[in-house]
Amino acid sequence: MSGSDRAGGRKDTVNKIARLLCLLLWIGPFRILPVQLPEDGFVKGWNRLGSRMYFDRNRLFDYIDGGAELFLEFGFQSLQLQKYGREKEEISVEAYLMENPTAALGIYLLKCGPETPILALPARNSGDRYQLALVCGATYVVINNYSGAQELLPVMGELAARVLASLDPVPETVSGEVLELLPKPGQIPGTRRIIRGPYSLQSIFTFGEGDMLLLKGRIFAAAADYRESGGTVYSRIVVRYPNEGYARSAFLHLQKHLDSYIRVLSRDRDHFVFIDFQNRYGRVERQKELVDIGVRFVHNPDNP
Amino acid sequence: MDNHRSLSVKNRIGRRRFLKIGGGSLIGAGLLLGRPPLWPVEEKKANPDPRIKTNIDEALKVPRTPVSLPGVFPGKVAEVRDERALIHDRIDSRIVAGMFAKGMTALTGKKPEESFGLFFEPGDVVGIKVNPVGAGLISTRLEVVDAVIAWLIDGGIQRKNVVIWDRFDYMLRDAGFTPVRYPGIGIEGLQTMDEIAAEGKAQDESRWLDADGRHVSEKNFDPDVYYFADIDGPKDKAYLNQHVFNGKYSYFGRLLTRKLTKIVNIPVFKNTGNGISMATKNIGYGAICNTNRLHKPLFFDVCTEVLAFPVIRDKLVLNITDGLKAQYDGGPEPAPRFALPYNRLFLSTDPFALDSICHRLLVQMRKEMNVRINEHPRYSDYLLYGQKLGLGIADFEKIEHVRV
Repeated sequence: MSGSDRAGGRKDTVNKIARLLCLLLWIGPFRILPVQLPEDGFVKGWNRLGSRMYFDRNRLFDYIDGGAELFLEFGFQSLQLQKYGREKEEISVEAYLMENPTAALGIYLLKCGPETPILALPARNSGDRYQLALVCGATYVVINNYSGAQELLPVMGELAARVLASLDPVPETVSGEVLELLPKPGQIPGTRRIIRGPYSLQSIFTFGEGDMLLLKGRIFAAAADYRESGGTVYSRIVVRYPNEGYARSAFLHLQKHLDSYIRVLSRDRDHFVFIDFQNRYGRVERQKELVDIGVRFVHNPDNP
Repeated sequence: MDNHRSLSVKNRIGRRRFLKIGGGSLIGAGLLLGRPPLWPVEEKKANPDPRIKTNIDEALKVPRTPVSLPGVFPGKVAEVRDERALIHDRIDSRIVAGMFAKGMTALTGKKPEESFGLFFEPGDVVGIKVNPVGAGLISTRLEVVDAVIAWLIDGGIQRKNVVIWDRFDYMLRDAGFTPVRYPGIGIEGLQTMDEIAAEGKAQDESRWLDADGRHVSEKNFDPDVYYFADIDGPKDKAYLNQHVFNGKYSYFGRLLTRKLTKIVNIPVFKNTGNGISMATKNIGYGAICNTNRLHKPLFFDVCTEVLAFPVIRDKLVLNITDGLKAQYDGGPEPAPRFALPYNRLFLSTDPFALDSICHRLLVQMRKEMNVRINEHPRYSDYLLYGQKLGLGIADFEKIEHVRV
């Protein structure tokens, strides 16, 4: 290793520590600041229906039976739910407090589908007249308008604004830092996702049973779609593990436990190429603490 | 090699040992369940996550009856479409009734009144399994249930012998299945759940817990008829409140084991992650208690194996997927922004053929709506598993899909 490499290594380490401290400073307050849901009359005539409901980690399945696992994987802490009504009209707000802002952004990106911002709010938001999802700090918020009445959009907006007023925003350069692992060239806008375990990985690709990337609900990975030169689309997943040894273990674990719908075509110490059940190709490569995966290539990426 | 992750040869032997079931005939029966591997070279791979043992072999030992799944019309699915059924969130009940009649004719080749006898006798007690989750958005529409009830009554079933049911009583109420709306018709939740206790706010737990510390709905489940899976449910009260029991046994509701003689299944058209939550899931997770423990290790397999037990296999005569509205993403919880009018009903005696068709349609819909889709076979393999168990047809080559 040259002197400049060593200097670069020290600089990288300092940068990593600085980023971590910065993240901790942003994350800290969110653990103790629960979202404040509006009282009666936040818009004239709109009052609470029933009492506020609260679900912690042990009770989330009471509310989302069959869908709680994804939230738990991302570090779900608590959910507050309140319904509001005016005459026969009804809307509800769900505020999910997550472990940290990256977890909240991860849930938001996975749940919102193609992102369609509809309101000028001081937070990233997506939705339509039926449902509005937004993310602010460590909180993921969903506002439901089951009737879909267009005239209730301003009420949804006001409700969102009131909820956001009780939260401290976190710049996406912090909460979404993991997404910077993804190369920019060829990346299709709006396709970035965050992964933290097998449930969040399901929406991208299936390598096999269980936690194939050894993320263990603690390590965030990033994924996005890319357009190949011929116009076809492939997906890329990049994970930065805590250290090179961990990355090596994860790489070997993935290679060893691929399911029977995947056939490895070639391999060496730190990379392998496979073909899947749809005759699409995949490539996995480890470099130091990074594992970089591409899936759904039309052509073998090692022999394009 | 058995390619289905749930059925490695090693585990089949383990299950037999566990159940103390011997005999070469069962070994033969077990081998029928597998299917050839896609990639022979992968045969040597170790199974990283051995399959949880269940008592499926006990169910398979019970002789079939003439009406056992897949029923009178194996592999046949009738799809009825009428764009006038649901417009601006308003349902035209007359159109829906007409769609049901058309669908029944397309399925059976007979008029509805003539087809009644294919499924029922006048003395039957008929349970209508609805899906009330997501009330008002994606729950089973009352108008579809109305059409089915009218058909049953016209055929000679007494009103008191029709029971609308689901696992949770409060969800039925929320979705509009009330005695006022359905006078004379039975409405039964297999269990109650104290929602206030579920929030952790209740001081008084007597609404769900008796003096002996047992769930008040315990008596609604049959201790003699159960789905066993070798994994415990959590021991906390929140789990017990929602799931009645928390051991390794998921008991079937007494309503099904003791009262109903026939079942009509009316699920909705929605996704659960990359999979679907329709006919097989509506019954698989609706007929038993203590289910949350099963999600992680056996999520889709429950949708197959529970249907293999005679209490379902020999009583479930008709499935109608309510596709008046479709939710293509965000499921299983209701997600209004991903729900749209679909204006279809799907009828079949075969829940596996029905779900196979609907799975394919949902995948197509997700692609059209530009939603990311993972088409890995694991999200539909359980339907082929159902075919291996003789419960239905999931092979598209063998499914007859009739559109009217």
